[in-house]
Amino acid sequence: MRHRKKSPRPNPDPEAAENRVPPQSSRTTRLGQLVDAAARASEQTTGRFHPATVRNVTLLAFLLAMIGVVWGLARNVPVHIVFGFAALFLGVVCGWAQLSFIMNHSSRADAGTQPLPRQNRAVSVVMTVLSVIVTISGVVMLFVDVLTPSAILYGALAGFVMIAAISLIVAPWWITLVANLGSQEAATAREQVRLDFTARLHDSVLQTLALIQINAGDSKKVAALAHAQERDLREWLYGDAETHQRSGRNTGERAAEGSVPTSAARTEDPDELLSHRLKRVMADIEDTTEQQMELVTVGDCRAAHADVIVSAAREAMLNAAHHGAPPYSVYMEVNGDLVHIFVRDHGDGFDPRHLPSGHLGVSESIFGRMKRGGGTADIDSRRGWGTEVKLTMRVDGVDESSPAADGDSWREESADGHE
Amino acid sequence: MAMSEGETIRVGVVDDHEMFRAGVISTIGKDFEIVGQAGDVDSAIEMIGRTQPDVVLLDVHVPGGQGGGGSEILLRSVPLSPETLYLALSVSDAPADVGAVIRAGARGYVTKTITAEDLIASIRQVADGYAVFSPKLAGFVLTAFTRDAVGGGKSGSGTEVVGSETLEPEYSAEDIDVLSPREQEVMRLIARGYSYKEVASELFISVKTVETHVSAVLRKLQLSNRGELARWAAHRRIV
Repeated sequence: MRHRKKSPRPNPDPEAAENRVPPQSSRTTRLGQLVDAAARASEQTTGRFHPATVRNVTLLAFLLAMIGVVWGLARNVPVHIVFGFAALFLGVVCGWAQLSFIMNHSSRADAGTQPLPRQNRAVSVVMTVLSVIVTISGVVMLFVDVLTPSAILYGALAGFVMIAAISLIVAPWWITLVANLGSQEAATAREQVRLDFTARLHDSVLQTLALIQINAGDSKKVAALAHAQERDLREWLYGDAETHQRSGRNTGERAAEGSVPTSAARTEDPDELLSHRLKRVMADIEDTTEQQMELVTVGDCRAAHADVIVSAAREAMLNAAHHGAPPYSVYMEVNGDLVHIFVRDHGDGFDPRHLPSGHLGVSESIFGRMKRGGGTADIDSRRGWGTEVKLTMRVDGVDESSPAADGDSWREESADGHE
Repeated sequence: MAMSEGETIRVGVVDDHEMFRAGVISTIGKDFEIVGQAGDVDSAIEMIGRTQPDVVLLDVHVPGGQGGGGSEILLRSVPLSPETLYLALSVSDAPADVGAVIRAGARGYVTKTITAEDLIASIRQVADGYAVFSPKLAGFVLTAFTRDAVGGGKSGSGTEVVGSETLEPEYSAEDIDVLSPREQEVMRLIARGYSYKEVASELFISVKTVETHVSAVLRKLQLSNRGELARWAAHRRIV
């Protein structure tokens, strides 16, 4: 079972190979072309083989039956017995020929995905019905001399009842068999998914390891690479599918372009959650600045309502990464309809009223932005303590029913934060 | 169990990754006495029972036993070595992973990316009887305990809004499910990346008081039966 499912990878099944030939042909080798040709040839032979087999087997059975009839008649065996046995033989053989035909089909690699071709299925149904009729008439012929028509009728009835009873008894086994087959197939499918998953995972890990080897001399770069890979792995293993797909895609792009931030990372998705958006923004900054940050979120809302605060937070994170020192912490809390974001670093700190040249952008990019968006910003920076940027904004569309119970503690905190 | 100053803290290390175990031991070996190490559930329980360490560094995912990992070791070791304290060490930040081991009785958790000096400080903190809270754990505590903070579809709702009880200074049996305003403040500051010392100066209280608050929160975390926490504890990762 496992073998069959795995095999399509190393030796692609014939049909798939045929479909894939045109795009590949430009860069495949001669050997590859030969293999493809062979695959196509084998596909064609197997394709033609089936109806031929059925016909041949039927003919052979018919021939054997005729020989039997002639031999029986020559030996003076009663006519009805001769023809009865012949019909029985013919019916049974044809029935079995069907079986081997079906088995043959389903043992092919793509059987799981493709049903029997319609024409072949029609043929096999007709053949089966015919063989049943022929067999029954053979049985009737065998007993026509010994039994009266009514006795045959009763016998047929009794036989029918017996078949029904036996199939009832056998049913549990049959059902288990079918169920086992189903669960086995499901297990194979799961295994396949797992294999794909690990393949992708290992691929990305291998790429990161390669990059680390190339940049072995640059410890900062190595740390950043390791951190980015760790973040992606974490998303794969514990995160939700939505973010990891995005972040995976973004890191892929970034890796390809040599850690240059892409604007693609800022594509807008109205349904995206604020925590996911922040995570993305932060990953972007981490990769650009080769710094590591920690994000903690409590509560959530749609990011679409919080564009302003996210872009202000982005500026704050960039500032922290450029001018501050690790550890960097970003904390986001959605409380009622209030969104708070705190960006903290442990650098030397600065005086927000006498900004050095590097910080001139801060007032516009953070304060101005927040003011225009109807929120507030506050920078708490002390010598030897670091800097914390506090952003607060009221957003619409958050669950209005939940009361902002902690409003007091917030106000109190931001009050002493001014100091 | 508070350690007296100057006494060497006896540490056991449980982790199934041999390289990581060796790394940790070489990192903290100078500051502590490493009394034992183990790589799976059964040998860990045997080691803890035999060596009676002060603190066990406990990996959350350890093979063997009944598949319960770190929390199984903890629960089964308590009768064998009642004095031992546990610091969970996890490669994952997932609340479910850490939650189970905290609920089982660990005094805190740190991620494996922690720096050597932070790890040493955390072990000392645990040996002194205090809890070790990372920003992530603090964030989770806030999510679990403050229903107002739950906005985006997480179902912390369904519990009644308790207003008055939060104001009571004493811990009674009823408010085990609620954080006091002060505890919330402490948790928020930790989540914002403040160290205990910074929290203390921010709130004009002593570091000891911060540690007391944090320990109280840890106790509530371990004893509370809030839906969110119960789910957290019940959850087992299947990966």
